[in-house]
Amino acid sequence: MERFLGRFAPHLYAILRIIAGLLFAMHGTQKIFKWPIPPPGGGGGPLPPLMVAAGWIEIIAGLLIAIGLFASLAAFITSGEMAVAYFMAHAPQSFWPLVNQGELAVLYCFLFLYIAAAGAGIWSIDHARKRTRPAL
Amino acid sequence: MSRWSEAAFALLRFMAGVLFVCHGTAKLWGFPGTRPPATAALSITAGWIEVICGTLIAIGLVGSIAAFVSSGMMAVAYWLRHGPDSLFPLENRGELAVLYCFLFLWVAAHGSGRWSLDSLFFRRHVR
Repeated sequence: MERFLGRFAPHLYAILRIIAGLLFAMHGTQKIFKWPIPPPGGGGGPLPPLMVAAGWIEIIAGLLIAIGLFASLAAFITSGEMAVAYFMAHAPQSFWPLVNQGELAVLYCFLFLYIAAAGAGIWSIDHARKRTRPAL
Repeated sequence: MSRWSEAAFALLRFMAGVLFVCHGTAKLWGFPGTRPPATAALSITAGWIEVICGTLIAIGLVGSIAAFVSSGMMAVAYWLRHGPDSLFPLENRGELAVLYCFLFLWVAAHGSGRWSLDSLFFRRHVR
């Protein structure tokens, strides 16, 4: 399969990075601006400071990952944030990510760790600025 | 950090594969979780695809083909179950399906990489 899809690996990586960044940023807008839908359970009352910090990290770093500006650093921070989120919010409830609802956090954590290690690749501002070959 | 990228890829591939298998086992045998096993033929098919392809992706055996099949299956799952409900993945609860779809599509193009059975058996094709 990689023999005929392999040519498109850098492009598919760029699409994955953009989609993941945008989806991640929407978790931030959900927390801070209640858009596109209000966060589950948290309708009324001010947001706790920890959630405000998490929301802004998600918006800023998510958009940076999507456009590929300082993507490595942004992805490293979000990967750490997701690890904290998993062990604070999800892990105490159950061992299984399917039961504790933390599967998305695990997946984002490892995906962003890879992006932190590999860099933004093509179709990114980092790439346009440096004009070096993408790490893939 | 780029010298760690292949190790990070192996980690990501393994975790995604194992988590994907869990969805299959939950559908087929009700574990992990509390939901009873699925009875609809489509769900049982999906469960077997998830168990088999997820395992192949995790151990990295014909990981590319397994990932391509899984990616297509997630696209179907998204447009069948989640897409009609709302435009936003946050609202239609299809974010996981979107992420798996694009992740596996890229894994299909990238290949299994390091720490996989593919790299053991088909050294020539693995970058």
